[in-house]
Amino acid sequence: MEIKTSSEGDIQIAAISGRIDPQAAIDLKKDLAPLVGNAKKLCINLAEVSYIGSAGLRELFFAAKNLERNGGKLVCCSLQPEVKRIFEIAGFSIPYQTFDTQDEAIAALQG
Amino acid sequence: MPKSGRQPQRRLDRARPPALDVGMAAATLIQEIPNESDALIDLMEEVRRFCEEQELPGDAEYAAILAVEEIVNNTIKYGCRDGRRARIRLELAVNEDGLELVLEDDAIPFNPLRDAPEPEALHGGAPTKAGGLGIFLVRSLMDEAAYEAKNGGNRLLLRKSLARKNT
Repeated sequence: MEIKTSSEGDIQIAAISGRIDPQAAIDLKKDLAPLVGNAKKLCINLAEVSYIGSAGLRELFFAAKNLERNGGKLVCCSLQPEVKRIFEIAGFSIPYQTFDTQDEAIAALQG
Repeated sequence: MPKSGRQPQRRLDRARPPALDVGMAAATLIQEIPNESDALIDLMEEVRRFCEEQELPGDAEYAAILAVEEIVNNTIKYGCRDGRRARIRLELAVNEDGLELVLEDDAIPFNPLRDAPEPEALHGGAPTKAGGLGIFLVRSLMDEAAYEAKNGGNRLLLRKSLARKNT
């Protein structure tokens, strides 16, 4: 698993690639920590993620909650169909918004 | 990176009778691993490779890998919390109509279908504990699940029907 970060205005974008198994979830937690600590608005692009289990979902969930506590917001975008299904089953589409494209996600964070 | 002594033994046995009793040729993957996180990652990769070899649809491959992650991870984290060294055995059988996973271990007996907590994430609140989400995902992706306490350990059976593109 890899994370590439970039920014657009005050929005941090983290593009994740690879499979988020329990081992990768530990790395994800470490990699997200500075972003969650510094950013108010975080867009997680999952276009290159073909697998995520509950260990990875939990790290995204906690990152979103930490951001929210500081008045920030986390959104996810560009989910592959199977990953999207997992998000829906897990209820992530309710507390944390997911968008089909990064442009839509950015627009929502700007709004 | 090679992990000597930790690689699960892999066996493909195409001569076994179909596990789902549908009269089609079946393939079976049998693996046994110790209760170690590295071994789980290797096992997930083996399951992924096996599913690709069998040309399973994406949703079935995902369900098989996720089931292994969730069930085995729970066994490693909670089923061995008394410090025991457990063996975890996976038997994954596929044929034209479905896949069947049997996970057996000699860890602390625990029926996840009956006793796993309800995941808090579903309610949109801040989760205060980690449990429950994994088994909930497994049950959602599988069509059938059955548990039995066996030989002082656990046996979990999971089944999923396949919707092949050309059928």
